[in-house]
Amino acid sequence: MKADRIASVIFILIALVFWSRTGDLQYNGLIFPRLLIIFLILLSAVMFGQTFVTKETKKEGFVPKEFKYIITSIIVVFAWVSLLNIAGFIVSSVVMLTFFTVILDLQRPTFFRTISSLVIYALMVCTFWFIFHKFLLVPLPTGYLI
Amino acid sequence: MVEAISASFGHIFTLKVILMIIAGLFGGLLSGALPGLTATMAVALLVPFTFTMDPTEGLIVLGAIYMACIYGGSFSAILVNTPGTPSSIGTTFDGFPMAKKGEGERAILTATFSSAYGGIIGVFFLLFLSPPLASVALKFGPPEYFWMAVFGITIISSLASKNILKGFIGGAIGLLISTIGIAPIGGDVRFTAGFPQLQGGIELIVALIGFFCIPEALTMIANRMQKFHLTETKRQHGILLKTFKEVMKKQGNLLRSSILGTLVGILPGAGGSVANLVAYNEAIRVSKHPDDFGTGIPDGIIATEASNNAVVGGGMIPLVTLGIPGAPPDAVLYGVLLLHGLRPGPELFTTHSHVVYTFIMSLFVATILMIPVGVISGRLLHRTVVRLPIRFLAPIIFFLTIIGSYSIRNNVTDVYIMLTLGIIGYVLKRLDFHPGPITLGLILGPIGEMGFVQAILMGQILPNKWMIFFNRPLSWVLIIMSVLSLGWPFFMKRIAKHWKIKEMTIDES
Repeated sequence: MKADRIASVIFILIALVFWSRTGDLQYNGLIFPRLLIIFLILLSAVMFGQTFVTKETKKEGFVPKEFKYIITSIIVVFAWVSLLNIAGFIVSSVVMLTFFTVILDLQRPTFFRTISSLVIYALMVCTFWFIFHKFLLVPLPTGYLI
Repeated sequence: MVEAISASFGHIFTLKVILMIIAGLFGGLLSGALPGLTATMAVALLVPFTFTMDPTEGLIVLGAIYMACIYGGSFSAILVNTPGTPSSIGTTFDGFPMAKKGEGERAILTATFSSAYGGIIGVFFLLFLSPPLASVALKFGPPEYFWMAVFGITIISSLASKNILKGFIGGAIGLLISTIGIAPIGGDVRFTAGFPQLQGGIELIVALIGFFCIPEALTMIANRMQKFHLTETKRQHGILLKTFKEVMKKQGNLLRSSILGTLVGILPGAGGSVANLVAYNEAIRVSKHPDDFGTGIPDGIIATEASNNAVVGGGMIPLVTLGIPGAPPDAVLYGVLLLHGLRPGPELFTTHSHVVYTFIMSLFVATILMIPVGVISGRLLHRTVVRLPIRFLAPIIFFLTIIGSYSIRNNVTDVYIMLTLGIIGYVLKRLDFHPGPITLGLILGPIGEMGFVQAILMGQILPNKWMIFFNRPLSWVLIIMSVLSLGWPFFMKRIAKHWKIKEMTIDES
């Protein structure tokens, strides 16, 4: 309920930010977004009010289990995307996929397990690269390496 | 017509054409199953390969790819809770819960038979009822498109029946996100926060991958101690025949969803993304057990998969009769027809009847062949996903989301947008916001805004411009449908409550 209350306030704030950005628009460009903003504010206000009326039933907290792994994963993915245009599609993908697997592994990573993951990912990424880049001619991110 | 149809069979039933159809089906299935690779993209990517073929063969291959791609979207929807194409959004609602319960194979088989059924009905309409149905599409003006979007939004009351308020908030967020970029009328640049990359708006597929894929991958990581994403059950003997019989028993659901899919497909701009959700909504409304939807029942998959494959035939009706593409992949096919010197329109059936009838009949053959191809690929994919540990599956999902969102516009910004929306989607998921209404808002936003603003401009000639929304009979049909759709869950709850009270009084007495 507390999380819902905070969420409804955030939605209202987002709606107000959107409203403030409609000032310079022509009538045809602003009419539809403004209607939606009013709709969102009204619904969020109702949700805010509901949090005081409805009894709390949810036992599980907002913060998920394995929270640190989720945060690490998000950081790894953002780092991976940033690396795409530097190290290239194949190198960055193989390295980051292997790194990801090592992080998520329930067992203590050994040299053999890491190398086998690296080989599997290298084969997978190269197959994708060949099909997309060479066969279907779909552009993939390029960097200083491949 | 009968002569042309019988002649077309002679052209289709050659080893070369059958092999080409099978290859097209495998290619389409693969593209459909990968989130981010839509039917439009798959058809467009493979157009150059048809240049060396004769026009009929080229169209046959592209038709097979299109049909299989729409069906292939159900694989990822069922196995990883991520629609491979926007046409499979609704399949996640019951497909994934079935897979979670260890019924993934049954869910895939249900999707296969339903898709084939829907595909056949769509092709049947294309073959026999093209001219009268195409004239219905022409009666849809801006006010009707606006009301159609409103009707689409009311589906939220069924999709998010557990918390309708949160469903509508999600829908409003989706609609608001859809307004980012250049306004469809007037050309104003809106809500881009100074980023020129956002001027083109937020790509639907990017948002779809973000809202469905990333939260699922993060949930997988949160449950990494389980080691596997899905539970593996013992292989059931005779599951193929059993599921086939089970699906065929649901004739009402199959036929209704297929007809709905065909009708939505005829309307230019709507397509499978709208059709599958409309069909799902109707399946809930008609069902005697509406509360079971979303818990993992085959009826939900039957409705969405039959309707989205019926869109393939339906979308081609305005294409071949009026020269208006019903859905984006049809626009690519329109280009292919032009490339081969065939002008889509009323005279296509008379001047190039052999090409048109061969193409239509090949769609029929492709739909039938889709069953064995789908069963083999689906079972293989299911077994792979079930046996793949989370430490491999989660990174591979991230890898596919990156490729999928990058390849749409060959832009890393889209990947960042996808990841950001994914994190927002995960937070919203933790707050019990379902991604379905958000994506529904994203799909219907552009249709609704275009219809709304164009209708207002049309209404300038009336004494009261707002009357344009209420002075056309088709608009009233859609308004009544919207009111019914919105009020139905409340009405059903009241009825259920009433019966419960009645039963209790009988018991007490």
